[in-house]
Amino acid sequence: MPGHPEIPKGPVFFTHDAPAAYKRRRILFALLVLLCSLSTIWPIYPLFSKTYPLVFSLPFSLAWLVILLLVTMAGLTWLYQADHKSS
Amino acid sequence: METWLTALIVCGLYLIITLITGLLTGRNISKSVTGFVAGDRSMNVVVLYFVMGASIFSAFAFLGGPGWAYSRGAAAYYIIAYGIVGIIPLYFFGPKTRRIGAKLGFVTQAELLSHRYGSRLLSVMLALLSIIVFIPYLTLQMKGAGYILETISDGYIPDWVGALITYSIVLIYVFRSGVMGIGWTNAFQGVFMMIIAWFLGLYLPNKLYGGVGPMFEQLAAGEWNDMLAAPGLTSSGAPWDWWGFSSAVVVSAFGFSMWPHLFMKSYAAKSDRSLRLTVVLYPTFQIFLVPILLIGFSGIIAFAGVSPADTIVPHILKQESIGLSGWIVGLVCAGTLAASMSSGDAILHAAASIGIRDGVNKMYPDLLNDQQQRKWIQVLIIVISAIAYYFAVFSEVGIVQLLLGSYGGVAQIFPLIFAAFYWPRGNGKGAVAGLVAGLVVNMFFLIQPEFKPFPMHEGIYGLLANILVFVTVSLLTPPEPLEKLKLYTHLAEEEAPAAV
Repeated sequence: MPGHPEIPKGPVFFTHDAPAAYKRRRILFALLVLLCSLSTIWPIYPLFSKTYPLVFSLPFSLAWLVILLLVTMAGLTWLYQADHKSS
Repeated sequence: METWLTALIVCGLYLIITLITGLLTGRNISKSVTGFVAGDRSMNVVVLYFVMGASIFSAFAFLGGPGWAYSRGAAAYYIIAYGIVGIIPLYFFGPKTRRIGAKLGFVTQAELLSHRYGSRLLSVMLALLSIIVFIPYLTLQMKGAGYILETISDGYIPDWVGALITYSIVLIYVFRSGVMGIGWTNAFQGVFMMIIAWFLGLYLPNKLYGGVGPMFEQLAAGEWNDMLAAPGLTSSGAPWDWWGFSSAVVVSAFGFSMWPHLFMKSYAAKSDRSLRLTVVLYPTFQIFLVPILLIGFSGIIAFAGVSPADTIVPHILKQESIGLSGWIVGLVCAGTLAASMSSGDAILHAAASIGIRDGVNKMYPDLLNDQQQRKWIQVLIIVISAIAYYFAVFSEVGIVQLLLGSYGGVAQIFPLIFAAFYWPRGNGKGAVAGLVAGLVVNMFFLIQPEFKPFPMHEGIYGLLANILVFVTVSLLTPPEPLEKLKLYTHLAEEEAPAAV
């Protein structure tokens, strides 16, 4: 089978000349998304799935998701600001 | 006059107005097919925000969600959960899609994928898949419309009649003037329903229990406590497990940005920036799902025994004990009808045009001229409506379950899109094989759930098979041409081969 030296076998997320700050930002964001995603399902959500205490008058199991929504929104806002700082 | 009668009249007026508008506008459908999707590569943030947001204003959110909250409690939280992460891929995929689409003239998801993977077969498969997953989505909209009219009319208008009337109007509208409303009409409907959702979500618990907090305290103190702890209950009332809940969230999160009609909105954006800003702002739409679920919760103690659970919202609304005037009830129901109809016609429109453009045209490139294409899109619209209507009338599957089932199929598109941009080694043979594997496995476990090793959504098994086959077949066969890969991925001439 012929080799294909120019095409790597693995994923390519960045151009080879992407600035370090850009990469760092993306990786940080990816980690945040991963954390938030796991928090909406097993194994993290079960830790926060009880009814009490009520937060915003909502059962904690529901308020937890609202909090996560706000966190991801904050994360997206941060990423957007950083991405479009110059424009 | 009786509340329900006033409400019914308001709904009737709304339907008549919609019908008349549809008959009068008379824009030719071909203008809509290309113009609506392609011509508008100029949607700014405001328009995009409401157009995208309107996609979650459908019978799924307004009837299905509260229906689950009412009958299954915390199980309904999965709807909020998957939306949290589900929109995020669009931040990254959207701009890339937009740029490539602008450069090469794409207007659909299948066009992008079939070009990237050098496969016309893939286009045809995706067209078929799109139609198949759109049908349950359309069916649930029709069911929703039927439920509203039946409940509001106290059964005088059976659900199958209500759905028939409503969607006959949709058909007329779609034929005459394309999609019911984009841009400003969506914006108006969106704002209206947001206000309604917040109003009812706070008003009902206050009216019935003295507040949102007191409502939950009463639920927690009584026999309904199990409903409030995540992950809630199954449809039979037994506790749901984390496998089921988690897998529903995961599959829906992967599938959310892959819905063809949502995905192709990326092409319509004016710029990367407006697209991304829409994604950033999207949670402000998501949040209104909370009061919507509160409406469902408010029915548990006060109105026990309502069946099917999907009718809980119109049921609560028409109760005299709620103290809402027939006008308000009518407006809310008309708003829900509007949500169902506008989602329904967008789905119909997308399904039919994808079916012809990405399906038939790719299979038989010189068969149809423009005029014939238009005609066949219309034929397909009727066929798809008929199939969806049949299931709406004869299938007992609930609103949320219908969409959740579809998600297994839509989610199979995710690996293809991901690899299109981030895995250059992924090629056409792998993509086709992976998609087939994913869909076959998904369908198998959908029909034969007893064979599932773990009680997870069948889409997970599909995704695992999909990825495995996609990767294996791609690595065993030659890659796509480098020049094309450089267009889609971050590969560049000087890229040193990464030894991964």
